[in-house]
Amino acid sequence: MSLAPLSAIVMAAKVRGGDISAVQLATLAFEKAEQLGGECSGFTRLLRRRALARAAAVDKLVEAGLDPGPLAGVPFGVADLFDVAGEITTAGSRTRRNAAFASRDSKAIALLEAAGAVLVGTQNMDEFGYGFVTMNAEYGTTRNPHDPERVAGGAAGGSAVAVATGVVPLSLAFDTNGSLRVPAGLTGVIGLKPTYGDLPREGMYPFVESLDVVGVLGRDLDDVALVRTILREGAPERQEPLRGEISFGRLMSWFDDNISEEMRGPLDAFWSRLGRISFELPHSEIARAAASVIIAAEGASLHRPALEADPMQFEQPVRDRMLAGLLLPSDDYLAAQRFRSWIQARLRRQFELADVLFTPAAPGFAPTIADPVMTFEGKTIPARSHLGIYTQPISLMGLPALVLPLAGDFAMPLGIQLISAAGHEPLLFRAARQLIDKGLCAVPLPPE
Amino acid sequence: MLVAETSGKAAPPSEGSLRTRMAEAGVSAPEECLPGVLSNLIVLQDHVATLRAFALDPRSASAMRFEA
Repeated sequence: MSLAPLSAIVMAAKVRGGDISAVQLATLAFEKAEQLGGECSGFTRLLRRRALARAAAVDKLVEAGLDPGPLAGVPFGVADLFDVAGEITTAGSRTRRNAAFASRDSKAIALLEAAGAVLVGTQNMDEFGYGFVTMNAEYGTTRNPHDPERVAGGAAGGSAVAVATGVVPLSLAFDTNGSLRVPAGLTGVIGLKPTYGDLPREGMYPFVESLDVVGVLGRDLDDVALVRTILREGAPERQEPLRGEISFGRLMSWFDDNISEEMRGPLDAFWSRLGRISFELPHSEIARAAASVIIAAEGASLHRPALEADPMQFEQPVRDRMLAGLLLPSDDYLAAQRFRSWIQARLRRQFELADVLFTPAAPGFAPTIADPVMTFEGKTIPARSHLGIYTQPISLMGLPALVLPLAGDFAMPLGIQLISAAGHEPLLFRAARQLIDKGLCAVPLPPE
Repeated sequence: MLVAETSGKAAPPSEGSLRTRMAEAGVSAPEECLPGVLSNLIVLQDHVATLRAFALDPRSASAMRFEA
């Protein structure tokens, strides 16, 4: 029988109390990652020397009677697009094999380590974050711990798997269009995609500057909330906290189409428990189209020099998408950005009707690695480019979202995406706590 | 020669037009890449058509705001 791994908060309390050392926690994380191997742990690099030195420093603070911080000795990993001093930030791409070493840690890493956490390694992702499967020609395919023959989802699949397997209680990841929400849903962990601009991006390799956010993956809701608090460095919340009972509403139309059979029943049951209130989110299809145009244009523009130099250095699916993106007229890109502003303004009114909206995080179970496809409008299409159909419109709108696993005895994890108005992350956490306490959502134990 | 049939409706790209557009954009790729690029360009063109069908007055929203 599998036991629930310790939460980060409990780990830190034990380190501060002298019950376990930071070095022991880091060593356990390395042992577990090595035992699983790269494909099943989600890690691409283990930073043993750095982590053990950092952990020893945490232990010295404890021995001296000082407080190393709220994440004392907690091991964590990062998607391989956060700068780690002295390492190459690969962003999952062969094109960056010979890039310069990062001169300093990304700000998010620095803030977590200043709170006592210990970085233990970097994690796999789709090349430059352009995909929803974490099948990487250079760094391998990350396998879903609940069925190794299935994908983990992506683009930040390695970061989700590292948490789902219990190697680390927390991962720092990114979300452009669903990059952390899709794998959170498919591997059964909690994933926070904050409001655009909520968390610091300094030292994070960009993909689509007008959509990229730093996010957090964890097994414990309070851990994820704590990491957000630390990364915000005491910044005041943008919105006054909402009091009283939380009203939930299910988004229909675009978010109800293309749901697989395995998701439909559990989703309906979840909805019934929350009062069966539903809403339309008009123009979601246009939002998805606008997001796709923005990503193609910005991603291609960012990588134009490398595409000009040698397009064959890119993985085929990424190369094809980026070369196509280079050909987009600027007028279409601007139209997409204009639509983005317009729909964000309209959306503010949507949340006068319900505090928290929800959708599936992904259409159903994780697709198989051998045949990574899904059904969309009756057609079989690549999962690599479409698994984020329910996350993409939310990214364009810049809204915060929290993915939680549905509670139940399913063959594979099924994730729900909670969405609030911009700047209302505390409300999302309160809603998530309510759902967990009601037994509607639960993080499954790591598979044996 | 293919031309736009009506305002806002673009002619579908072909491998021939793709070669020209890539050359004009200053990028080149081996011939075997063209079918993949073309299929992605067609998908993007579908997205663009979806966007263009929603006639948003350019003065009704800024295209240069980057916050939520």
